[in-house]
Amino acid sequence: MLKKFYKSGILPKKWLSTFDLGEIHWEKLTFFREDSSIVIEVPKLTSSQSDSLSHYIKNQGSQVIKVIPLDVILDGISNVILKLLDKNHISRQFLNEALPIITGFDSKMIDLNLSSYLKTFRLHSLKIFLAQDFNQVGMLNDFMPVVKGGWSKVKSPDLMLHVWSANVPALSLWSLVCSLLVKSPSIGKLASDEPLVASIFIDLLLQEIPALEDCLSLVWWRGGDFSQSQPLFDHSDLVMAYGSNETLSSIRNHLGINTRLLGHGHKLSFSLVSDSALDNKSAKWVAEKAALDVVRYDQMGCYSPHAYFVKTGGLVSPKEFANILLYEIKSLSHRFSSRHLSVAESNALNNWHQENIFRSIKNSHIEIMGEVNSTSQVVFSAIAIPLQASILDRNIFVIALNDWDELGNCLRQNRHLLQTAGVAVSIEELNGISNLLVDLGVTRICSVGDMTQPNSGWHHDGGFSLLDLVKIADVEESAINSAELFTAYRN
Amino acid sequence: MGYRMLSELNNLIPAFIQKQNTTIDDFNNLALLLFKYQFNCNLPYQQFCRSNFKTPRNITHWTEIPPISINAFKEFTLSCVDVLKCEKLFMTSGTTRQDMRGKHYHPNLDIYDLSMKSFFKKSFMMDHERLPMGILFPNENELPNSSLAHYLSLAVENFGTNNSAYLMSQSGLEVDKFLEFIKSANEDGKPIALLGASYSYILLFQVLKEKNLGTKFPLPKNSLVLDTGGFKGQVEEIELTEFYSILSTNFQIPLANCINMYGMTELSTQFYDIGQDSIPSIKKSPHWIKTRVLDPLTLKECKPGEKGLLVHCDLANINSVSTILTEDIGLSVSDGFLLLGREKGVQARGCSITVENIAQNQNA
Repeated sequence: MLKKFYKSGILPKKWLSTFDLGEIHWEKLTFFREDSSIVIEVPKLTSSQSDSLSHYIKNQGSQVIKVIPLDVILDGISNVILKLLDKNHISRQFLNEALPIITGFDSKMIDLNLSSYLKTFRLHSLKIFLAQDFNQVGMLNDFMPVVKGGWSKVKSPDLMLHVWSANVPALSLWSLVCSLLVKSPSIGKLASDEPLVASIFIDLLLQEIPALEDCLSLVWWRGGDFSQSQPLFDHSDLVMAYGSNETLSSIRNHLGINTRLLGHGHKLSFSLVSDSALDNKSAKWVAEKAALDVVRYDQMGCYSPHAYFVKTGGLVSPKEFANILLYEIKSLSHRFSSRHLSVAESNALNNWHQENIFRSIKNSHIEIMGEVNSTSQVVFSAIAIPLQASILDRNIFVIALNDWDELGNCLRQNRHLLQTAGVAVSIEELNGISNLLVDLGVTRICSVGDMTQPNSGWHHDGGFSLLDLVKIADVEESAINSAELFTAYRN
Repeated sequence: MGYRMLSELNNLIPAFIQKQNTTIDDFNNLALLLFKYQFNCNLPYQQFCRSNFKTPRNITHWTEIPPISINAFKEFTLSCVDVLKCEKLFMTSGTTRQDMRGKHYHPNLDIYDLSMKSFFKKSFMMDHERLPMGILFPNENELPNSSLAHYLSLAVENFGTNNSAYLMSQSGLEVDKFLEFIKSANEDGKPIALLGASYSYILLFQVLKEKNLGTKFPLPKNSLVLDTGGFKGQVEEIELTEFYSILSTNFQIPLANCINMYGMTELSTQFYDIGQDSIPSIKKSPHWIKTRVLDPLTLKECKPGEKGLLVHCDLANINSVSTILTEDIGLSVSDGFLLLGREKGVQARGCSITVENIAQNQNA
């Protein structure tokens, strides 16, 4: 039986009991899908409450989290993740029921993707995050000797603010887990379109590690409204924000000179299919994998493909591949229905379909594949055209290339937006193509079919998951050498 | 064949517009004939229909005619007749996409004018033969490609008295003329009509206020006010209830006398409501245009009570395409439809880029 109300948001109990700044206002966010609805209540703080909370977490939290051994944090996170992976656990069952209503995504798709995403944060995977960024994990606890000489230690932010978006469910976990791994106290701004997962995660984590209560808080404000939330930005050492470029630039305008912004803005991802992967047998395999990338969360991730560049010369032509891909997308749609679209979204999709029909009338190299007025269409171009944004929701470009050299012209104008490239190429081609892609701005290359499932420790947009959050403090060799002069047992 | 069909349609459509008691079968037959003509003579439309697998052979009802988006008027020349032989070109204001304006070609304006006059008289003039008209919009000479300028000139010419006046030019509102018009109307004490773009009224009150010329300008009893076209970024968007409350208060006329006309450059027929006693008001149409509310994605008819996109099948649109898919959201009601506004693009979700955003990026 679905709980119709959920109080999301986390506020430290001790802070609540000591502060004298009036009642907390809990905003009700209501979500509907077909006959079901759910109300999520989220705390909307006043400016003075925001000020007080950020002071509290920054002062209390940074003292507390420093002394919690890293192993305890790793075990705590991992235990929570194991609970959430357990389909019989009450929290997982709640997520499976509530997320389809909140996000509009198909319930089977959420179930499947949530599990594969959560696996990224099990104990051994968390160790990959750490090993990926720190030569010596001990630096998180104390000074460690380093190659250049002297000692170094990680200095974590005393307060980190997360501003999450909700293009894919549970997106918040990535930055939240990373901040915990570097032992930084955090305040998270829940996304209006998915205010649930972060809260459930922290609820469970506080059962595992009650001491973290003073280190973590989740609040909410209407996106773009800084009137009450400004103190949270003022007191944070680091702001990790996800959203549109407009959102990021408005956040940047609200930060003081000493606050760092790590922004994850708009990205464009795509795939390459080589002629070497286009014999009768492989083409089907590639198309099946490609369709998975398209269908997973209806291309709402920054790593989801907008287009497939397919090389001519294989047994299966790019146009034939486009047809097989469309077929595979449709087959998967029987298992995973598309997300529910609002009138505005449907209108935008319909406009996009009509515009492509117009393009196909004007340009003989453009062809539309897919039934009229169906949600999924493949727009096929028989010649190389620049990469452009698809309307998403299972709509994709397939662009024929005669030579990989044509890629430069296709990608160059959007090079600052490129992120993931899925590839179906031979091992002989992989190194050369990877170099070409990286020169053009791509920061992640993976197999077709794995685009939406980045590895633990992934360099998101080319950055470090953990290292970018912290500063490294050095004790230089000279300090050690001179200190030796002053020991009691000196000669 | 095209020429023969055109001369047949040139007889049948005006006759249909003027006919009093028409049936849905009459409408259907004429719509199918018009579709056949447009399919044959309007080549981009034909290609569009073919890509939707629709031809005159497999269409038996007007509701099956493929609706083409208003954006197609920006992308293609949608004219059955050589555009060099067209007497008039109406162009959209370019508010949606500045770079491209929709073009609607008219070989002549006989049917357009007949359509306008027939329904304007019935819907706006009430029992008046003619009224002194104050026009809050530049005249047709100044804006030769504006369908609204032409529409208003038809109103003045056919339903205005000699003392009707244009109170606005391309360079702006002519406040003195407005004050004089109102003053003389009040001296006569007979009802008048003000007609103009919705934003013109807001501009008017702004200018009058700035110049300290007052805020209230009572009109003689039974006067009428017509607005059309919304705010189009010319002035700050305001809610309809607030807008009509301003009109009603400042002109001291009942809300029932504030009539909104809903028209589009891409159509040749207009819709009217019967005042603003309830907002959104019910838009009514004459018998030669039919409106359906469609699911934006499947383009299937919405269930009663469901919002969707408005699609109009306008038999007066003889030279372009009869059936137009708008970007206006509406709701079907028993005696017309409710216009609920225009759906803009959708907000980008998180870090996945959208078409609109990438366009912005490239322009930046």
